Amino acid sequence: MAVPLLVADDSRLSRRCVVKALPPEIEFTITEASNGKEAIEHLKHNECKLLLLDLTMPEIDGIGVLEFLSQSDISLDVIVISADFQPEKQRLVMDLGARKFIRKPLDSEELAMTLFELGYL
Amino acid sequence: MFEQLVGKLPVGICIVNEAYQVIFLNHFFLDRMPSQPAQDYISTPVTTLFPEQAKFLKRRIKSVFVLQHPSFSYWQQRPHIFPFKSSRPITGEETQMFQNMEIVPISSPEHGKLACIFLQDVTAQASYYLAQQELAAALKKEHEEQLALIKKLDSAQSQLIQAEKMASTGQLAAGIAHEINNPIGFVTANLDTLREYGEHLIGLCDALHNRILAHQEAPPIPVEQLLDDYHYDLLKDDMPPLIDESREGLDRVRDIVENLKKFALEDTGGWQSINLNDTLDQMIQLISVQYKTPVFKVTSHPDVINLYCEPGSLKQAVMNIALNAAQAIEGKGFVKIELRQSAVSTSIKVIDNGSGIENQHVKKIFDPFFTTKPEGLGQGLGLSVAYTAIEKHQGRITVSSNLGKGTVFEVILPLIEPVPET
Amino acid sequence: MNSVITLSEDQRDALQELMNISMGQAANSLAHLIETQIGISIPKISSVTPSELFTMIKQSNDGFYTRQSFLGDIQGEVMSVVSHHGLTEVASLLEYEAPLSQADTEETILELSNILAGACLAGLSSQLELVTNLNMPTLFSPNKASFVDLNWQHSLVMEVQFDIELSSFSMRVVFCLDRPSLIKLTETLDELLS
Repeated sequence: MAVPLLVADDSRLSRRCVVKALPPEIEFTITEASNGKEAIEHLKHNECKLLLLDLTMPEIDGIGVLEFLSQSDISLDVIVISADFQPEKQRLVMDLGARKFIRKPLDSEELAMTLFELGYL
Repeated sequence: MFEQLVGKLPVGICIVNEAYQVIFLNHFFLDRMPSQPAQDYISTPVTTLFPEQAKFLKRRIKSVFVLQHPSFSYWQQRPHIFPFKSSRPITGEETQMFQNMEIVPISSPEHGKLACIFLQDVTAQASYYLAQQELAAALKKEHEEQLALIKKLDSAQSQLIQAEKMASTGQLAAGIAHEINNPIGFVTANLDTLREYGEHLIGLCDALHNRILAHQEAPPIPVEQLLDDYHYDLLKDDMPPLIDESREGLDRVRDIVENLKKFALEDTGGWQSINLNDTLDQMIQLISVQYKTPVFKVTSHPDVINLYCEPGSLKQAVMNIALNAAQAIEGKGFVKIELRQSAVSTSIKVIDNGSGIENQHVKKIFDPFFTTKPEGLGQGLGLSVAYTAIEKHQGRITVSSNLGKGTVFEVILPLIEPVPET
Repeated sequence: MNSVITLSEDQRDALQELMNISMGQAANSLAHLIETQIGISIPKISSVTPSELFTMIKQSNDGFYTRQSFLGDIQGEVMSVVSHHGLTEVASLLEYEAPLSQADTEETILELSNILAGACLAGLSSQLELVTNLNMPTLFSPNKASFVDLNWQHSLVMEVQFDIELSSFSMRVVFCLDRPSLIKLTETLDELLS
């Protein structure tokens, strides 16, 4: 059964890279959001199992999305993929309930490894 | 070959590892450090070799290792990182070397991550720059001082001109006051006499009245005796001339005041057209009140001359010249003013047959503060102010003098047309 | 020669993402050095005239300005605007002792510019596999007249902002490329996108 996946990133290039990096062994139903607001709207109204989330985004940023999720009863796996990988930021993201932090530029091996760790493979 | 080349480079090269230990120094560094075999420096922390700036060096080297990106330091902010002398210890002034530093990340298979310090001697540029800056600052200061001085001079000059104006006005006023006091003196005395005369007349009338009333029963009035008692003849003879004299005295006062008002007070400032003849007549009236001995005369060709000028300063100029002329005359003499107007200019000549000016003084008479008068009787500004005023009218002033025979001043003013209002 | 170089939406998006990644690296480097968290903005990419560039740089009077040129596969200049506000705190994080002397202040400004501009440029260059070398930064004060006299009509600029929330310090970095570099950049972006 296909995994419902949301990719939230303001950059089209970045979303393309994420989608390309997904391991072909797993079947996904992919939805894309170009900012935090769109992401939250989608999550409110749709069943979703996995969120690949950027941090620096207009309207509502990745931290905002994580804060929303931590206060809602939506339950899903969040993997943050961001260029802002300062240790403090990583800690904050994990505290807000993300399962994993991956640095940009995205390494497809690392993404596959993470998905494996989280039991998707 | 490359090792030799690096050794001889005219730039300091010092390579350190992540523990800040020196692993290479080129000659630029070695030549300027206490002489001992280069080998002895190897593995010593750079912060031990150069303790003065240890903290700074450590921080910058750390930043290069962490960021893997060059770090810069300039002489303007940090002139002497390493305690090296400037490159000319014998002929130049021995000063500390001004330095620019760049630290770049490098690496080698043997040592791993390294930082390479490049040190540039920029003493020449720095001292040139500093000298330029000093010069610029000195020039700026001097310039400011000069500006302040010019401003001070400007204000001093206008104060002096004002003072001179006050002085010549004061001098004039003193003379005029004297001349006004004279008639006031005798008019006052005359009035006292007239009052006394009046009392006599009233007394006479009262007496006559009483006698006439008593006449019915008294003997006839001894009128002659009565008139005599009240000095009637004196009253009759003396009263009209007293009144006439007082009247004349008051007229003189009125004339003086009138002239003063016309000449000195009706000075609204700014350029305007004036009747030069009237102006000079008023001026002569005022001067002649004070200087009685000379004969004053004004001639004019044509008969009426109008002049577009700044009346305030021009009057003051001519007045100062004419006063000097009047003062030059002792005993009998004349002061003659000749006015001439042509199509292009107006000339005002002031001629006197007074004492003249000594040859050696002629050149100086227009200098401020030059005076031959005794101390306290003039500031020596009159002719200097006249000169400035004539310059303002784009005119010129010339003088020729013969000691003991007299002096001629000539003021020539070019015709200036009023600027039409736009 | 001076026509506007326009980036396609894809090129702009790619450049913005590359800048974002570079900024992340720059912020991380500085954060590591001063042990403080750095906030980063979304990069802005725009085409400006010289007077627009002036307005962009000189948004307020509260700032120190530096510029440094870079050479290599792409060439241009980086201008940084460093806020007065919070500078003392940042200097103390860089281990300068208070009170700051004039020279300390200048050195702090130059060092911050060099670190952030350098890290951004290094990140951008390495992602695009281009070689660039940054020269030493210098302080300057922008004035309108000299900007208006510049002999170009349009330039592509990338503007990024770093903040240190704790001391309300902020710094803007504006990258300007010369024309041949712009062409080179767009070509490289196209290769990356294909």
